[in-house]
Amino acid sequence: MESARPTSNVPPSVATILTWLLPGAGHAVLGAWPIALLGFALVEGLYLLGYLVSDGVVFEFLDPELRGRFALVLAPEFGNLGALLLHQLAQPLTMPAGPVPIAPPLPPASVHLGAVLTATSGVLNMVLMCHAHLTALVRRHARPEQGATDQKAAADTQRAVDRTAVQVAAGWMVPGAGHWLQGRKRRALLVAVALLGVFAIGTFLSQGTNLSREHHFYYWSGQALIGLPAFVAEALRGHPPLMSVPPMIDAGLFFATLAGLLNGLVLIDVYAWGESGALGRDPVADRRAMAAHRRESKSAAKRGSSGSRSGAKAPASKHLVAPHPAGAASDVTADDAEGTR
Amino acid sequence: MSLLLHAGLLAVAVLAISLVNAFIVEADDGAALASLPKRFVRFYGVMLALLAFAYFGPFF
Repeated sequence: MESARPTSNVPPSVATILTWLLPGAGHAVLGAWPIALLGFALVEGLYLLGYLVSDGVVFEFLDPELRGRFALVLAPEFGNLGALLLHQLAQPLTMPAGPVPIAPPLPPASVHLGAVLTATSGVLNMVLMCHAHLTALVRRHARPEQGATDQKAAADTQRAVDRTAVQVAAGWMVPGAGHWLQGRKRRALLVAVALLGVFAIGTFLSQGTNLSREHHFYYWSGQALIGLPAFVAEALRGHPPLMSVPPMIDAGLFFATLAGLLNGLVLIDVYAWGESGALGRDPVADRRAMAAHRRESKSAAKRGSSGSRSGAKAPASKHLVAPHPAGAASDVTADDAEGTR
Repeated sequence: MSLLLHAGLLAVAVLAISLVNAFIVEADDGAALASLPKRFVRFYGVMLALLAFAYFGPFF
């Protein structure tokens, strides 16, 4: 007997927030137990490993005057909120009482590895959140009457969801890899050259000091979004002896962090493309519909400001969907639309 | 020389931002590349205006 096509009324935002609080919880609510357990083990295992190898002092580099209630919101570990909160309960990051010691106790040598592991845990949980969000979204869109008859389409949809998460993770690890896996190879190369180039300029200008969380806590957090290049560069020459402050340090930090933050935007693009495909829509047509909507909104606003105030309102963007020619989730790549590479 | 260097560095940063922005907003590569110069000039202009305001304006 065939099992029914999985449907769910769990809102995608609920699945996402549950995953943020506890990796795998969103999938558990959706009934996707294998991914829930695997995600929990991977994400929390990485955090625990990082905690253990660093003696839990990965945040102690933060300057005492910056330690506030929300000081860690900008750390990559914030992506794994449950573990971060638990960590803070066990080992709170507080303002030291009394005068700051001139020579605080040295952290263990493995603290940098610990920081990379806990940061990776936070970013991977964000990928898991993307997966939970998209899983909930496609299950909400699945019609129950398709149930027993449409198993192949359901499997295809789930594969498209899994692929999207893998593409986002790959895009984090190597800028451009997400686009490459989606078949958007020219875009992938441009993203890789632009972001790796900007990151290399930043590292060169700041003479490698940007790679140290010890010296630049928040800038390190920003450039952690560029993934492996930042971590590999840190492992190779991230902690040079600091004899003097590099003259172009500010520009260097700006460039390196900019590369990481721009990769965050690139990852959103990778996810949005994958989401359109998983929902059985044509991503290119979706983009064109959104661009047309923006143009319409602009011209309506212009008409409204120059003429009467009773201009027609543009439709909400969430209704702007373009059905995929195949009508179902499929391997939507740029190959499907001429001129998108 | 230092000013030129900083202007050049700023141009590289703005180019990277414009590139990512163009490729995210536009549906196809042709349109993204075609809109790049406009985005670059607009972004660079705004950045320079902000810098000029910060440098010559009432804050310093």
